[in-house]
Amino acid sequence: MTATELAPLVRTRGLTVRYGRTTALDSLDLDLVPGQILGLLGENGCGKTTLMKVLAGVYADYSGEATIAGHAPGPSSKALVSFLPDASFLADSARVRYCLDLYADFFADFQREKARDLIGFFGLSETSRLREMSKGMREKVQISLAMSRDARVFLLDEPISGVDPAARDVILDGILRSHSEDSLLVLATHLVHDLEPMLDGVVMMRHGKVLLAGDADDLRAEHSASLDQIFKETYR
Amino acid sequence: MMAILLKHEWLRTRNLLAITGGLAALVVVLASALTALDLPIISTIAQVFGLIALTALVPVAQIALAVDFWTSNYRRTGYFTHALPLRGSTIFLAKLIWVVVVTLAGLVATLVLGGVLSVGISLQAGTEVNPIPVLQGLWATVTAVASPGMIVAAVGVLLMMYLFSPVQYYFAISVGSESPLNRLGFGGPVLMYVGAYVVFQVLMAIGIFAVPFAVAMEGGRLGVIPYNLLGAVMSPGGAADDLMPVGFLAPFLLIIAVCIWRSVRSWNRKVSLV
Repeated sequence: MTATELAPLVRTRGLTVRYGRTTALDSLDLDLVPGQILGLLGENGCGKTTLMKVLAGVYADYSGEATIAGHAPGPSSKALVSFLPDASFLADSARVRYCLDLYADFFADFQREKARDLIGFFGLSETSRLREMSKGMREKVQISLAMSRDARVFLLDEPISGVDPAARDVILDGILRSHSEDSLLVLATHLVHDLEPMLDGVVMMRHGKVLLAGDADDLRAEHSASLDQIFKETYR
Repeated sequence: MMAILLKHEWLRTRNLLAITGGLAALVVVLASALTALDLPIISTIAQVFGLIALTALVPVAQIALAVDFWTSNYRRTGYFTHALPLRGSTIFLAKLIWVVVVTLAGLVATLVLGGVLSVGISLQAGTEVNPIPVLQGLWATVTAVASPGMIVAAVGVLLMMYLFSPVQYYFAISVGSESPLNRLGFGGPVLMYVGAYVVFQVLMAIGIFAVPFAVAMEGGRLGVIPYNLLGAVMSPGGAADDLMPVGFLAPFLLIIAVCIWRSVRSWNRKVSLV
């Protein structure tokens, strides 16, 4: 079955979010099918993070429709979605070991051994405190936790921004290593060049609307250019 | 799940609470010792500081928990809290239960520290050091003037008054963090708190004037008597100062119920992190 024949796992219709006079999402219609790594691309302020927050169930002030596997954002959808926000969401004073306990206590689908394996892959110690870590190391811990759930949808918001190029490669390797093929992995970023090799599809956004969307190979063939070049051309 | 939520409330706030309780205990023990030494001026100042530490212990612990409530739910770590696959009301109620537990523990600690301070005061005054007979005497006085029902009601109202503040804090933070106030940062909860405080004071004032009853001494015992405060205020003699109008109780309890209901609604339907 091809991606276009699969039932959408994430669906939005007329999804709109306004911050005062600013429209962050403008009547967005989107169908995202499982079994792909999707790049949610766009410049700062285009609505990527807001879309991620709505889908993760941490932003309720929207109009229109959003569903994950048929569930509106809420406890049922949160059980299916693993969300990595663009902010450090764990307490600075926490040790890595406590973070593992925290995930194991609250997420029934959390695979502790998988997380420990990823933390080892990243070369991190379980006894370290987050406050003792660099931004890149902390991001690796959070990715280890988020990617070790057997979730159906993974929403990673800017997972490699602010991280040095060497660490970016390691983080992306870690993500690929832990990603299951039947889930949907959405990566929001503006660092297209680093992510290009792993993307199956892209959604490019501007001013809260979809500017361009499709299969990565189809877009490359259609434009005779790399995704990075298409991105630069689109946002010029 | 409630037990797991409470476990993590304890793990996250235990250091904060230990510092608060430890500081209060240190101040009270030092104050008691300095009071017992009967030093001019110093003993008096120490006694004042001891009393401040005693009375501030529970309110400071509640404010510390309110700050934690704000940071753990509406700052960056809130992304974890609100991404949990649980109803918001379940998480909120765990936090409410935790602040009730901490408040009750704080009240017990206040009583114990009160005993410690009273030892210093008794040594200075040369009176009975053991606080137990003093408490027994106090209890005998209370039971002589108040019925068991009145005592239970008074203790209940006192506890509700202690729990009123955290309920109000959590309400203001939850509702003040909804859209559009969420764009003001901590300004949203502050605005909500100030606005709600004014409304609550007005409601309780209306209750005091509207309900014509008061607690007063009658025939040597405390009882509820008919008392029209509005009429008394308008009369040439003015209001009596030896009774307590009870009209504030109904709006007081109603406000607590509404605050909890609205906070639960906020947690279930209106969380919007920015």
